[in-house]
Amino acid sequence: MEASEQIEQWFYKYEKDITNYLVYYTGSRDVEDMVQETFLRAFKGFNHFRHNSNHKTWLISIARNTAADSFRKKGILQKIKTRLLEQPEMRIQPRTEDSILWKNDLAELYKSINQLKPNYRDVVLLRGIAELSSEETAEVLGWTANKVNVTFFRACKKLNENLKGSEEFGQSIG
Amino acid sequence: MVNLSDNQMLERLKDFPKHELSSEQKGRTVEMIRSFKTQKPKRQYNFQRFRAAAAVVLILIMVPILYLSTTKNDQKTHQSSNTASREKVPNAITFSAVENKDGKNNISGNLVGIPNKIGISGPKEWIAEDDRSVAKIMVLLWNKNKKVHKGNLLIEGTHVKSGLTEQLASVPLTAGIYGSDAHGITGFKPFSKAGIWNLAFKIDGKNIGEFSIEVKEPYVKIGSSTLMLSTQDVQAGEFKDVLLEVEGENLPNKINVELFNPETGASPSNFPFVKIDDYIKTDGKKISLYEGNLIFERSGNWRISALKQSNLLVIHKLGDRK
Repeated sequence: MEASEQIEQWFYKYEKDITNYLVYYTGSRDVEDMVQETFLRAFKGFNHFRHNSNHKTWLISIARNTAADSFRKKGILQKIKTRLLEQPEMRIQPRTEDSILWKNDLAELYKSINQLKPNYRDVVLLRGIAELSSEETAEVLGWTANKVNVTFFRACKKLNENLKGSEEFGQSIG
Repeated sequence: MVNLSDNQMLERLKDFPKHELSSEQKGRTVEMIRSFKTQKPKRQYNFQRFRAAAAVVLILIMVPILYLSTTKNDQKTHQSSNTASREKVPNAITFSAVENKDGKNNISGNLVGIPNKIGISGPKEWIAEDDRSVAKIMVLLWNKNKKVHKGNLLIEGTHVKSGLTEQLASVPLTAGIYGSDAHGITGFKPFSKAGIWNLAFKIDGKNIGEFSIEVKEPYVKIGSSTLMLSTQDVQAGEFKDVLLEVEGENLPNKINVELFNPETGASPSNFPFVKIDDYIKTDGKKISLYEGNLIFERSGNWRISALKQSNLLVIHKLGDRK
């Protein structure tokens, strides 16, 4: 099977997983370019792909790198823009668009996830949103499965603390 | 929403709304991927490949030596087996038929099969011994050379576990629709067993493609009624908007489905099902369709009853079965 045919089959099979992961990774629904870039990179790297490996894990790795590169580029552009306009530097953060989430408690949870430190956030999005196993997450992050489990445990603890804090804050002002 | 365990957190994250590209965006991306055909993927030196090649060479040298040294000793035990007909072929892939040029003419719903080759527009789930889900099936075929398939398409199913092979349909092909090169509308013979089935598509005796599908266990039967839930999906929990098909005449507008667990001896639970439709099947049988909710409080052996008829039902533990 030609590389392009294989990539097209993977697109049909994994597009929803890739799109969904990118939407929550970036905080924006406008991820079409990133999805296309992901499959373009997959095509370019097709000859390096170990065909006994997990296709979804490989594509999620590419999607994550694509999104991270995009953020880096935006970060550089933002720095140039800030210097030129002499405005205070703004940290580029994923936008929590109203349209992404339906319920308040989910929005609160998503907000808390975005406040986590990067490796906690990574592991939560890969385990919870991309629905990868500990082993698959380890493959994406280049960690051991044990490290994934420990980090996920700590991330959950931190999320619980953050959510508890925001609830108490809500009660004190409400 | 505080103090969630790891597993509870994973479950909570599953509640997040799911996102996918729109049909137009998918069409554009597919077009982009198809444009790759004129390009070649980048190739770089890869030492792992050299190692693999060296390993293959070594195996090619070693295998004849080992073979010659062992066959003399145990020639009598050497047997060949042919299990080709029972081997599972690749899974069907879910995809949409997209018109090549402008992305229009999307088929509603999804097709299953082999993208750019064979697509079936069928039921959401395949159920054993059920004629409803296979009553109307549309088959779409694509041909690389854009040559229109002509003649009769024969569809054969092989139950992977038992090796049982059955002819499911014979379809006369006509011109293509939704960007395909040929199509046909037919009905399948109901699948006689649950499990993985290989579907083989043949024109003039030539196999043009194969893929496999999962057929679920039959629906729950309660006498002349059929609860449209596969027995393999019945597990502890709540089921909303479940359909109940009842055969007969002058049926009431509301019927009660009763669940009783003889193991606990607790009072039976009743669930009202409301009539939503009446129709007559092609064989003349009168059917009424009801809808309601059900709650299986726990796993175990339950008795399910409707219209003074009952059946025993095994409720699986949550997550035991898929």
